[in-house]
Amino acid sequence: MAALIAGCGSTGQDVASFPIHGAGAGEAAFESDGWSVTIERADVAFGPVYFCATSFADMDVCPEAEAEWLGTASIDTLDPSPQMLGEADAITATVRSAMFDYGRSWLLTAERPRANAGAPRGHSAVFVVRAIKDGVTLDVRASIDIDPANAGQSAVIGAPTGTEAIEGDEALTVRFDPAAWWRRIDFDAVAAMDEDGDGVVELARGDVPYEHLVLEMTTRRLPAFEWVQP
Amino acid sequence: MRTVLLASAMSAIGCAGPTGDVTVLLDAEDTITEGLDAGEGDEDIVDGWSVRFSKYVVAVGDVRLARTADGQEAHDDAVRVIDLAALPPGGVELVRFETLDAVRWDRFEYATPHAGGATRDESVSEADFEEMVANEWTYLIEGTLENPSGQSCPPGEECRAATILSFRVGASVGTTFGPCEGQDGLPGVTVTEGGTAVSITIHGDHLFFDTFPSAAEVIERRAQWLANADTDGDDTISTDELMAIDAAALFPSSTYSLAGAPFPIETAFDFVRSQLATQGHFQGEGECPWDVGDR
Repeated sequence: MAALIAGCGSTGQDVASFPIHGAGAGEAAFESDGWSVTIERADVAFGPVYFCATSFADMDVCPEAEAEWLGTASIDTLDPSPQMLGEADAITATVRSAMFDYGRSWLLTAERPRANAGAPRGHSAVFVVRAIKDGVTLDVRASIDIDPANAGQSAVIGAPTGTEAIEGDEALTVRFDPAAWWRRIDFDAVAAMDEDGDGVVELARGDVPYEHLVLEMTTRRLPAFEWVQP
Repeated sequence: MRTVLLASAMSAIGCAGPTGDVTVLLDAEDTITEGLDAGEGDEDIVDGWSVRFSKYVVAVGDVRLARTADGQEAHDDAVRVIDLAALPPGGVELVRFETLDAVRWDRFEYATPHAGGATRDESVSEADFEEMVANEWTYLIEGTLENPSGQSCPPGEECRAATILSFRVGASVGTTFGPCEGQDGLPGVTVTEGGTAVSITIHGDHLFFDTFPSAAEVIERRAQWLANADTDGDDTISTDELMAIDAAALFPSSTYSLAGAPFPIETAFDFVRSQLATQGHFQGEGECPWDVGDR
């Protein structure tokens, strides 16, 4: 894992901190190919997170974090109001990208990834979605697990944070948009997965809609990092 | 070829000291010239396929050397379209900078841009070159996949036996690489009076990585995804087929981790372009941060 440099006196950098909040984008319902879709639950685990000076963060170019929050928290991403996650430790430096986990980390000393305390039911995200079309009601459930590829590596790398000069008087909101993640799901294909006809489909790893959500969360639509000066 | 030495006031003073030449070679990783075998070795493909490249054409050049300390810069904006699969051992000379101050030049950068405006190397046919220029491609890659017990399993379709498949991919992915560091971690080039040779090294196996490069470098090479992309069953995988396949159907998260890609991955072709954008190196395995100009 990247390690925060503290006490960088020779470079004129001071120790700082700032609060991190999580929030949703505020949209829970949308139309898709004739389906009226409502996201009823979208709990997303976030953390730990490391902030890097370079625009592309990986262990080669960001061996040392400029800021970090080592916790994990579950965020109700249907709620657009900021939810306090914790306080990030930082140095006064400029950050441009982040690498983070969705609540499941792989420590260098561990044989495999594990859920962190704070991850909803031990998952990276738990979704409950209702979709209605032509009188057919479909309840879709998905418990998503997103693991780092390697030990000591974050699950998401190089997330743009904007260029922010950390001074210790700012606050950060990390905003997730679950409706964007679900909007391009093929609900006709999901309905076809309801083999017993009970109107309930539980997405599992390997199902294309499940894999679609993983890609949405890790490469296609990363959370937005919103900096606010109080 | 246009070589420009941008001499600042400092560099003019520096001209009084010793100078040397820098020869920039273009080198291909042996995964390009010799291919990748099926197996369990470090660079083997773990899912039973072997790969051979018949063409690995790339547009490469726009080499820049600079010194942070005094602002000197040497730049050659020439771009050559060259077939890496046909390179001799040791590579070929790409650029030569003459009479540079014999000191450390800490910034070495280059580009793999579009083929438009480039010159054709004799290793590339006129037809391929014209196709690359017309389509603004950076890469044209042709080769074969072979697996004695292979199958092609296109998403949503039945698997079928497929022991030999060919592929042809043209891709536009203009990328700049640098500042580059050697394997020893030192940035750039030390110019000596006797002359210095450095190499741009293009890797050939990133297309088969199961994740994107990171410090851990615990990466497996897999080719089943490419075999599965033969959606029309003609034993040939084309750029059009790759563009039409949702990446979610081809790269299961139980095997692949696509975080860290240079741009969002919607289709299999996005995966190809993203991996191509990461495979420019320096002095063999030395690292160069990359920046994709056309996402």
